[in-house]
Amino acid sequence: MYPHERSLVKKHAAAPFALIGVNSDKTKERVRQAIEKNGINWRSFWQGPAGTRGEISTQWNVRGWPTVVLIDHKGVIRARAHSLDDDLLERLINEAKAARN
Amino acid sequence: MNRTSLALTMLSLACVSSCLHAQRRIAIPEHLSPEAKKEYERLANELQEAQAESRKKMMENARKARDGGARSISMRMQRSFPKVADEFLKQAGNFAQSDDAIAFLVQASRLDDRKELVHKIMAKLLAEHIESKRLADAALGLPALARTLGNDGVNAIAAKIIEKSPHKSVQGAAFYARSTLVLDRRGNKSEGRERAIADLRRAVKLAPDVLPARAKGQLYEAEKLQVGMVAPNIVGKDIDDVDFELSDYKGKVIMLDFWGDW
Repeated sequence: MYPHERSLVKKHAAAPFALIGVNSDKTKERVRQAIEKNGINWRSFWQGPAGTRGEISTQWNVRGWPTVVLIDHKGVIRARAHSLDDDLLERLINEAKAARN
Repeated sequence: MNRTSLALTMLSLACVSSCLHAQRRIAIPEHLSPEAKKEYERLANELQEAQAESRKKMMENARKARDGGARSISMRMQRSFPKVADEFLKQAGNFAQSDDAIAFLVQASRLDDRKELVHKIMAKLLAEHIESKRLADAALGLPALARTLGNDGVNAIAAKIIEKSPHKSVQGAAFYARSTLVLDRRGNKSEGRERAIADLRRAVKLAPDVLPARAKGQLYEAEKLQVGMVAPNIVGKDIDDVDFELSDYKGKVIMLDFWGDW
């Protein structure tokens, strides 16, 4: 998944788009390694040593990883799944661009 | 991935085998008297051995099927162990006068897929232990019985517990079980959903200390995280300990990605 996400961030660098992670690794060392090794170029919340049972993933009832939630430019949740719906993401970005003009 | 029916490549057999091994560890219920705990641990070991044996057979069959050229191999974990269930029932009899019996009855009900027997166990729990706070454990275990008793059977038992238990925590556990039956089916848009959310709300109110940790998240998801709802804010810190919020990205499309490197 990392290469695809990396390319999304690059491709939409100028677009009204943000990839925000919620990381569930238990140690910072682990996350840093992952960031370095995989060229991760997006910002993540880090949940501390609780890992998958961290505050954010517990509150959002995330029980399978990855979980991807797509939120449109108005802040409305448009999808929640274990993989990314690329077509929907493109549509949402176009909607956001159209709203800007 | 569907856990019960896996299409396997040759390499992954060994991996699945070790994953399944790692997965099973039977929890010993809290609150048992020392005598009951001893018996429970003994039976838990027996059960683990029976499960290990059954896994071994399943893997052997899978290997045979693979070597016979099967392209996809069905792996179904055996869940019914009537012999061990009978042992748990026997111990429930030995501890019949105390709350300890509940733990044995609950485990027995999970290990047997004879519908009549499971109904009998549940009737016994209701008849002899309806006054007990520990009946919450039985209530929380109800969803697992749906495969034997069907949703209707489970709902009927939950309704009786709600009606007859004098304890809020037990009622809450039963509300929770009833809601789980509906809400755990992903992408479900059935008419039962509204009631299930109401049940969940009541459960969290009545029995916050008895429910599993994810109960509040389930309610939060049902009430705030559905497609079409405005996403709630997230406030936290990034890997460099810098505070940030989801709302910092207002006006942009956000791909919120729950990830981990493991």
